Amino acid sequence: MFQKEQVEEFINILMSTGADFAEVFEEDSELCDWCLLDSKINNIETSNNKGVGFRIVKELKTTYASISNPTYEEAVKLCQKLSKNYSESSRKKVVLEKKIVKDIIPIKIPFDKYKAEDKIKILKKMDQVARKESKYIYQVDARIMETKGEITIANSNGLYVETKKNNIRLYCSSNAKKGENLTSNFVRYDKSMGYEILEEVTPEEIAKKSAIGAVEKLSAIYIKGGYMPAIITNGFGALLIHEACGHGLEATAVAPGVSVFSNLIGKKVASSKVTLVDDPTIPNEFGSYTVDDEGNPSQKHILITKGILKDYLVDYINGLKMNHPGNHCGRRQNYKHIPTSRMSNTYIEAGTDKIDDMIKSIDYGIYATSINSGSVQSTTGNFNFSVDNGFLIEKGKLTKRIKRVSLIGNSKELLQNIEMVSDDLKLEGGYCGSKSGIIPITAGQPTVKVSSILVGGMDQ
Amino acid sequence: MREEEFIKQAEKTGIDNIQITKTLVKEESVNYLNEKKEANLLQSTSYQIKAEKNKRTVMIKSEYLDQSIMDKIWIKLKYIETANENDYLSDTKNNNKVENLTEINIKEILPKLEGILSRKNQHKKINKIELNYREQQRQIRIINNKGVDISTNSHLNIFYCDVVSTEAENSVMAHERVVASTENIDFEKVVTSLINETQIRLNEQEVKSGKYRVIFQNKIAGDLIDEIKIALNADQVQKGGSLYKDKIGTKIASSILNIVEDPTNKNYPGYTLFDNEGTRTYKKDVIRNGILKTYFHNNKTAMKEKRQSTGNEYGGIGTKNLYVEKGDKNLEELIKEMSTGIVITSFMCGQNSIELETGSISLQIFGYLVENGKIIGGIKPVILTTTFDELLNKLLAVGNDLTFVNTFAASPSLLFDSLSIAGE
Repeated sequence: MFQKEQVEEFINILMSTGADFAEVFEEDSELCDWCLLDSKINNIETSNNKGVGFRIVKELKTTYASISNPTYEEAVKLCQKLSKNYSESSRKKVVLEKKIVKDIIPIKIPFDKYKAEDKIKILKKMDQVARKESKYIYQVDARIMETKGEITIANSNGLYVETKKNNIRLYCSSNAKKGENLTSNFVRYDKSMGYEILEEVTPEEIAKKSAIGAVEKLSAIYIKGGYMPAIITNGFGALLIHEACGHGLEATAVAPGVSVFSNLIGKKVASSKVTLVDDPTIPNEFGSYTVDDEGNPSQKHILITKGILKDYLVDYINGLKMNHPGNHCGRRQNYKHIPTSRMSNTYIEAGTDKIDDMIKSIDYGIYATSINSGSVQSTTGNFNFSVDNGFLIEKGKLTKRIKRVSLIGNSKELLQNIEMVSDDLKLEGGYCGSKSGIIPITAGQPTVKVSSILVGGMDQ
Repeated sequence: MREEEFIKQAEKTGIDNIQITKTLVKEESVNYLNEKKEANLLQSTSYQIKAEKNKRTVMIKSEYLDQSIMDKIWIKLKYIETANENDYLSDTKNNNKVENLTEINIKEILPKLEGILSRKNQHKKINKIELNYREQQRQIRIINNKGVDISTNSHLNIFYCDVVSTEAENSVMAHERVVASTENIDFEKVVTSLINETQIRLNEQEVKSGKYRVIFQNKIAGDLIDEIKIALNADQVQKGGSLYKDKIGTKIASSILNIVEDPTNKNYPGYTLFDNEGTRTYKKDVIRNGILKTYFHNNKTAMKEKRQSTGNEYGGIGTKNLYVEKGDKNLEELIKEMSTGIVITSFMCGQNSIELETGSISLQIFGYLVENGKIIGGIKPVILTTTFDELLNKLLAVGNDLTFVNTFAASPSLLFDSLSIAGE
């Protein structure tokens, strides 16, 4: 990594021709993915990101340049190239001051302190437990994904901060087969911590859940699609709010005025049962960070209170456009990406309704017990997510298991249709892909009931 | 450390075989979102290192070569339990050197793009035009301890455009991506087409749940093929995660479906003479008259079946210039043939909306409603649910409008019979 004095020099070169703002983001990180398949360690994938991103802004127009593993001379040359975009003289010399921020991602058992043999034991245990769960299990794909890295961020406001990333995922996918019928089911557990993750969850729990899910899916049926009420499970069921609302509240779309939520502060955008929070300060959650990728200390954001829109997620440059002070949520996948406002740990606060009451209230609908991916158009509000596992509800009772279906909606309607919110709040980790790349996040909610949503199905 | 030095070091430490694929990328891009402009320069070097000892192979991806990478190779070799002997290039007669990548300068394109942005002010219903233009140069070098040293350069221009139009409370988005290796891109034509699409689709019609004939328009039909092809990746098949396991030689689709992969075709943007392992690429039938002809292999999966690689290693198994062979009808003729149904102009889904073990597909779709062979308006977003098996066997007609929107998979417009739509 470059020394502070060298980084200061880069900043001053970038500012030397009249830019309004400049930033240096340097990263040295690696991913190690321990993989088991066919009951053997078949791969240990490793990759790394080592490089620098330079950002220069003038009159709110951004130019960005990134280079992998540069020498000092190469970095200087790139800064000089960028500065040639302008031709005024520099306003003043920038002096960087190192900022120390209290670490909210303490690591008890670092990856390199946990023996390789013990990591392999975890994978073998998952394989053993999943296969033992049922005779129908024919394949297990078990993984441990470790990501860690050192990051330096500096900018022309004099900021200089050093931080790190440290994420771990425990993953097990089981494949089941009965006759010609094939299914698969994965379970993952994601945190920003080291191997103390094993104090929170055991490999056995993950493997068992994965295998049971795969076998249960063997009896799933297609349903006929249409509009119907739906109960969405807690935890990653919050992909609902992540897609329906979360992306639309990022300044990425709000600042240029193209989000469905643009200019709606103070207005009712959701049911009064909904209070939505985005909080990167929760220690060791998957989406947590000590400082954001613009170097600012993380802070909690109350986005919606009882259905009323209170705030957006705003990074520094979009904040300047919006006349908003910015609330420290600039994020990026790595040094190759321009940062922009992104979610972190986003959740609906717990309510008081009961799941049994939700089920009893539905004459014909679905109960989605596992959600795993989705997407959204922030400008139109159209979104979708995929239900991986669930039940048909008929006359107030859970009846048949349903095959994978999509649920779609529009943000403006769907949020108003959240009519019951339970008390079983849970947060679960995952990855989110958007303009500034793929980043770790957490989505959370209690179990909720939506009065009406379009559910896919096959008309057989 | 240079590649040659790393290879020498590896041999000294006792590695039996080592091959390095070095990829150098220079890219310049610009993004306009209404008046907001972002420019981006990228210069990246990455290495894919394959090392073998006692018939055990490990792979490492890295942005640098040094002793720490060598150490990682040995640690991995210690713990890998699967014997996976690989094939290594040994024929040095194709050894070559290529020119250095040149500097990219997209300044000449900017006035054309900025001119297009002014279209937003000409139509009061348009509230967003987003343009992204990218020029990329890529150099790949494959070098190993058997003396092989081959390189290739490629150049790509990529244009992506998003238009959103709004009327009252309703907004619709249309988008298109164009990829070209040599010819200029007609930006005006693309944007005009998208503006026209949004104006038609603003007149949204409700669609009742039921079975409909459906056309996947060429600009997104390739994305559909790209999803389905993953079930033909040999690693997916070998681990038991594909519905097409043991189906080579079996009829899996309508007999009018012919899918080919041809990375050797210079006219298509995925042109490359060899894959990332140095295996020569070649034109191959993937599906011919509805019959499955091949899976996609790299060295590792090929060795498991004691066969040759099909040259499909691109940082994981992938394809270049995979396409559905075109038919003889244009889009208008397909719409007439459809008579009543839906033309899909775009679709959205989550990463896991397509299930490879069962072939189940569930997509949020956008597009036009067609009655009596004519487009009568847009459709309110609905869900299409089907399976690979149903979809490929219900193919009724293939258009003549083959278009490449990326380097990996492409298709003309495709007309399908009777698929399940969930709507009103």
